[in-house]
Amino acid sequence: MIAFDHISLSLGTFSLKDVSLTINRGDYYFIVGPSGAGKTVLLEAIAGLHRPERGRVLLRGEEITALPPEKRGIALVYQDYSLFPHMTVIDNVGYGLRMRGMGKREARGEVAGLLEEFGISHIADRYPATLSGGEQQRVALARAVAGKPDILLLDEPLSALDPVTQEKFIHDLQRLHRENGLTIVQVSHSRREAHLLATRMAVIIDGTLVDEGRADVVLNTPRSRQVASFVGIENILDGRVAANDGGHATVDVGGHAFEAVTDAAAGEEVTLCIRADDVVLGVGDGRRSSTRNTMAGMITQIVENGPVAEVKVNCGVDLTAVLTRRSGQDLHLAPGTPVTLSIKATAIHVIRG
Amino acid sequence: MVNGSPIVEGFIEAINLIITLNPQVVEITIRSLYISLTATFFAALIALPAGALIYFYEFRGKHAVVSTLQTLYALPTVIVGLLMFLLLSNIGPFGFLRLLYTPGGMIVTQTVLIIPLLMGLTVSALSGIDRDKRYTITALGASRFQTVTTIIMEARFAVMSGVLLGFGRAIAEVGTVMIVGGNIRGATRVLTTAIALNTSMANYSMSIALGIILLGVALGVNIALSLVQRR
Repeated sequence: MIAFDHISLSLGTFSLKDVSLTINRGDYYFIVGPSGAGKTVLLEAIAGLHRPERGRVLLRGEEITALPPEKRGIALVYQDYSLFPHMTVIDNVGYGLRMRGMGKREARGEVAGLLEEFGISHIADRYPATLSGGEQQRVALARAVAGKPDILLLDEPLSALDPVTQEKFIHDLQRLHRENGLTIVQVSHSRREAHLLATRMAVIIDGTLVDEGRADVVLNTPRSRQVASFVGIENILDGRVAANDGGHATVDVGGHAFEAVTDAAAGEEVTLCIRADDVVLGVGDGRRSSTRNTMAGMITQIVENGPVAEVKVNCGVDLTAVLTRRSGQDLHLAPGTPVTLSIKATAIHVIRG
Repeated sequence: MVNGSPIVEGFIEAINLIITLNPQVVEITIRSLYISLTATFFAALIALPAGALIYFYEFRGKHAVVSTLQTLYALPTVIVGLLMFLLLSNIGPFGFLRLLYTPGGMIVTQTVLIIPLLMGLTVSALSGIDRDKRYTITALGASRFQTVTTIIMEARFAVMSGVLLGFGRAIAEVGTVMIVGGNIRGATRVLTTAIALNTSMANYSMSIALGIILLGVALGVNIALSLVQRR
């Protein structure tokens, strides 16, 4: 639907470097990356707010590199909502329609249904300063979709909300994407949001797009160590392939052997990525099973986070497993407890080079 | 000791002058308001669009222009008065307009005095609209002209505060109107120059009466400013 073809642009000391990506109709596309990586600049470039120095922007196959923002059929919502403080909720929502020549009364009539849909009709005559963060966010979202954009751009829309409101808003976004078939591009720091919402995603670091593709693929099988670290893979281990028997490799990590599935040849440097959810923790000796990697170790730390607990284990190498707090209590886990960790060879993602 | 004090007596007499609407007090007050309001109107007419142009257009030396405007906030009024006197006097290029020692000349002078202040405050007011909001307006489908008008509307209360500050500076100012107006009774005498003259003549009651009115105007401007800023 919209594609960046080798786009480069500079803004002061910051620059986007040779970015190519494609966002298809109906995608819920996430742009993730650390602070200052260029996520918002990329989002603004999609909106047409920055003119690239090199490369082309294509919309439905036609070049729109020089097309001004107001003609792109794109709406943008910033994390601070950017509502107009001197306009009521209904006039904020109808703003885009009025800019397209609709009268104030007509625009109010047009957005009445939208206010109902977003559950904000009861605050239609209030001013933004009197609204909660969640209400302001809904108003900003309703205002953005009022003009029926082809693409909705969201810049960290959940970052200023409390956890309960975040949950509600995630449902709103899921509904908006599912029921309206809207193409949504969202900038985010949060892997959890990406897990819940994204169909495709791009990882941008220091102005360069370092990974792009289906969200589950990027999240679970990142292209590089840098991406693996950013998408929150808990166990990232550097090693060298000791042997490879038809794709079944043995990787030496600091003297400990891990079995994994990869085409990497013997002697090749690799990075192993293991999600903490894929590490099975047991007490006592490991039983015989199909699991290829079983190792004994000792708990060094337990970090409880809501209903789950992250358990750090030293097995010669440091590994992290995640389990429910209740499991931890049932197994009487504590720092110093001897445990056995099991990891299926197929659960290990191998990054070559 | 207090009874019979010229200051107390002056106060009592001043209140009396105000309550009885002394014709001289009324005439000076009306002239002051007329000159300063007219000057503020013309200054706003010039400075607001000029300030908006400076804010919305990128050009070489923009930063220097804004810095110069801010420096001119503190320009001594007697310097402006002297400059305007030279320009409007018979030896100056605009002497043929015969504006020296007239309310018209005082309006022009006060206009010149407060234009930099209004321009600078307009730029500041528009700068108060953050980048995200500007981009949001554009991304919501507003054309360049609509974006500019929306930003001005968003900043209108801050701009109005600037205009009120400009009026406050104009009406409270004494140096320029004394030099250019000449403090002529019945013609160019305004609140500030009348206070200066009456004080030098030991006519304290009149000075105090005019001072109370000037304070009242300043208070009115302040109240209006806080009301506007509360929006």
